[in-house]
Amino acid sequence: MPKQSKQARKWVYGGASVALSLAVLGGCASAPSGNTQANTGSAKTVAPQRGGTLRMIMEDHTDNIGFPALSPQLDYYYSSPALETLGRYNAKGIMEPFLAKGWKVDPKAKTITFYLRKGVKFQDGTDFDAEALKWNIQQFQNAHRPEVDGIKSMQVVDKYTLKLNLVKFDNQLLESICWFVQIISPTAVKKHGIDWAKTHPVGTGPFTFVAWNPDVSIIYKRNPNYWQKGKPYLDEIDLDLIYDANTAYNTFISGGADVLTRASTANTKQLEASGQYKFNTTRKIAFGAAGYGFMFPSANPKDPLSNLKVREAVEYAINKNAIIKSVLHGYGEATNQWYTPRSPFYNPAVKGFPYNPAKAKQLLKEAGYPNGFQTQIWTDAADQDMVTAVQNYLAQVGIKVKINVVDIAKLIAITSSSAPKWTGMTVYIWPTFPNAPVLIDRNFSPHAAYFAQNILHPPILQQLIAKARSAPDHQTEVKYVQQIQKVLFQDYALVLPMYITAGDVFMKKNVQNLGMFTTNGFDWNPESVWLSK
Amino acid sequence: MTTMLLRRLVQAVIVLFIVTVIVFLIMHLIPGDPAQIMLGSTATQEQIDALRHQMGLDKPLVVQYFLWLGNVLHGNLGTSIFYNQPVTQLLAVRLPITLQLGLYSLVVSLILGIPAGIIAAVKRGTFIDSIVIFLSNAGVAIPVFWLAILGVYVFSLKLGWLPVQGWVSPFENFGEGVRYLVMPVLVLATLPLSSFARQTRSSMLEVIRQDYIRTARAKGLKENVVILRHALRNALIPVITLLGISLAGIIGGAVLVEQVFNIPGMGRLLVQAILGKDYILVQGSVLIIGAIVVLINLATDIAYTYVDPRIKG
Repeated sequence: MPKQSKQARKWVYGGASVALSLAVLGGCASAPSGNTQANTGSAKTVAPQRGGTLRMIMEDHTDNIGFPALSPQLDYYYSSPALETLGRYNAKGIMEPFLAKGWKVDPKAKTITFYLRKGVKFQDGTDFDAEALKWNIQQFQNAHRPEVDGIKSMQVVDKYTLKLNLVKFDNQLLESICWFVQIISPTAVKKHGIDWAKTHPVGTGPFTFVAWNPDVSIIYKRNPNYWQKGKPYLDEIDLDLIYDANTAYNTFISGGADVLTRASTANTKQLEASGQYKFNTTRKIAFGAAGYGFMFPSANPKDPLSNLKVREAVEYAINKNAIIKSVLHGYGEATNQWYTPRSPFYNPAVKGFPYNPAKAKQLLKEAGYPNGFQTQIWTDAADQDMVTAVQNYLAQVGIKVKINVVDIAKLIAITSSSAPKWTGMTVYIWPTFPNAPVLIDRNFSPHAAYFAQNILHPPILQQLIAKARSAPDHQTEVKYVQQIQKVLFQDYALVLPMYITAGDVFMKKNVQNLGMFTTNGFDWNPESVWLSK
Repeated sequence: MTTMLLRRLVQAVIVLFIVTVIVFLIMHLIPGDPAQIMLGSTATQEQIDALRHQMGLDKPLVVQYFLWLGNVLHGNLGTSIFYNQPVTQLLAVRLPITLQLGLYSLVVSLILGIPAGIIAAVKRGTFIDSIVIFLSNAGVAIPVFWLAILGVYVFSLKLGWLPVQGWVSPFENFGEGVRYLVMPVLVLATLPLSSFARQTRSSMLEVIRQDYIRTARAKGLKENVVILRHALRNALIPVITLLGISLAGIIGGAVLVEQVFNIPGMGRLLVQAILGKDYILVQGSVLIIGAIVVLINLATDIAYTYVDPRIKG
């Protein structure tokens, strides 16, 4: 796929901020399935070896690596060596305890109780306990972060137990806290201040922060007092911050780094073809890829696209597989919904609108547009080729499209909920992360900051989202999300889903257990990485 | 001389003022709301409005401009939206890197370009002259970014002599610093070097045909003395004009070179600021770049007066 701009992703992703940054990392390239050689499991039979420095090329441009509550665009990977979370998603998209020993969710009592792991210390020597967790959540509340909305009060039951009393039960709150609230040392922040904390992450992680040279590198060294005995295996992790994708690629192939976390499509193909490197890919896992498509102005009565039959006609008119093959060189996965078939949220009942130009023409006729109509597509330069292909397909059924290539700032201005209603379609990108109800709600709620003024809000959709958020268990949540997808993509065709891309992380063959893109597209387990001699 | 200097200073202030107005207007009139960009898609309208108020974006544009200008006159360039640090603090770290890069490039281009031009002029019509003309024409024609990519391909990927990217200060580690500097400095120096060589050759050819040069030779002065003492000084006047222009060009070229070679200088900071619509940082950076260019032009004017006494007064 064409390299997408980071800003673009930040704009369109419905997910929360961490997801945005990580999706950037994961969204740079993808490839056809069946041609991969991911390294998952390759190191399981060999005992980990100690020592060494892991040099990783990361995307540039981060401003805050140590105070998560005040970083709308916090880049998870930059701070992961030092900061940890209460839980981690598994490959099925289910949150599992990590810094927390466990939790109890009581929908009826509207409480969530966290039971914390004992003996965990921050890198400054202080204890990680219930008071520390409470303080961390409070920082998110003070910053008015939506991830912790709905907490009425917090009660320290004992040193290692924290109970949250909720305004109303929301199953997404547990995941949000477990995922977004990277735990930092209250003592360090109180001693040095928030500004200092932004550039000095002090957490419970396997590596302690050494130095951050903005736009150059972030360096971590082994934490000898890490709570998982025997870990980490590496002595040091150096994150080299390189903005330009070609520079990053050249640095990697010249031996300047062990891991490349981003590559253009062309570079991805070359790296794969060379056979010299291992790679992990989200193409084989359920979560973490990015979906690409178009948002219809379904609530703009002046636009023909507000007519459901017209929207369906547009969908029938486009041959997604051909576009993926020709424009994306096969690096994409055609989709008719939010998630890939590998995800539990995937709904096989959503049939979509397979390529059928005759059907498209018939629907246009039924909708009162037998000779088609004129419309426009708003896109940024990164997606121009894909949009041009779509333009050609639509022309074949009589829909004349004017392409408006604008910068990301203009796209933001157009789709902001406070802006006037736009006409035509806009490129829309979404993350396929496990916290589906939150992601969908943030873009399809009547109160969303983007798109809200110009898309329909069917009551059934809002009801299903509410049910998904209040589902008492994962299975029920999955059931509702599947229904949401049917309403969103099939019954109302509010979004035209084109394809799902993926992320690839390349590494030298001596890098073992990297842990990126093995369970989902955003987790990383730096404590488990090791270098074979 | 004093009148000329005062006149130039007043002009410089006016130019800087116009630069601030243009930059301010461009950053505020192009679409996009910094508050929305900062908060991302997770934000509610209330959060966006609150941040707009906090940043003063809800005030009339003229008020915003004069508030900013007032702060600038007090030495406060504002706080970067993205980095959340004072712009002066950011520039204090980044500017020296860009200036170093520019200075080294300028020195290289002068050291190589002027002698090349002199030799080509003195050896006019010879093979050496042809080589200098060819290389200098190529140096002017080849885009900086292409040269950078070619350099990386040859010297880093194929030969493995130089690093692909990065920055090590030569003041901290001289050997490593030089290794990291070689390619960006040479790439950045190519255009001014070529221009200096072409201009020096052209000026020298004109000057060495003058009567006073013939007289100097007739007096029996050595050729080196004739060329370096009598011809070169007059031939350098147009080169000094070019020097001013080249310095401004080097600062501009540094933006590209810093991007390609991943050098954490001011150019790269500016690009990041533009991409992130960090208009406060863009305004501050452009103001400083504008001030540097204006100062360079002022210095060029002053240099004229020393090289060409006719300009004095």
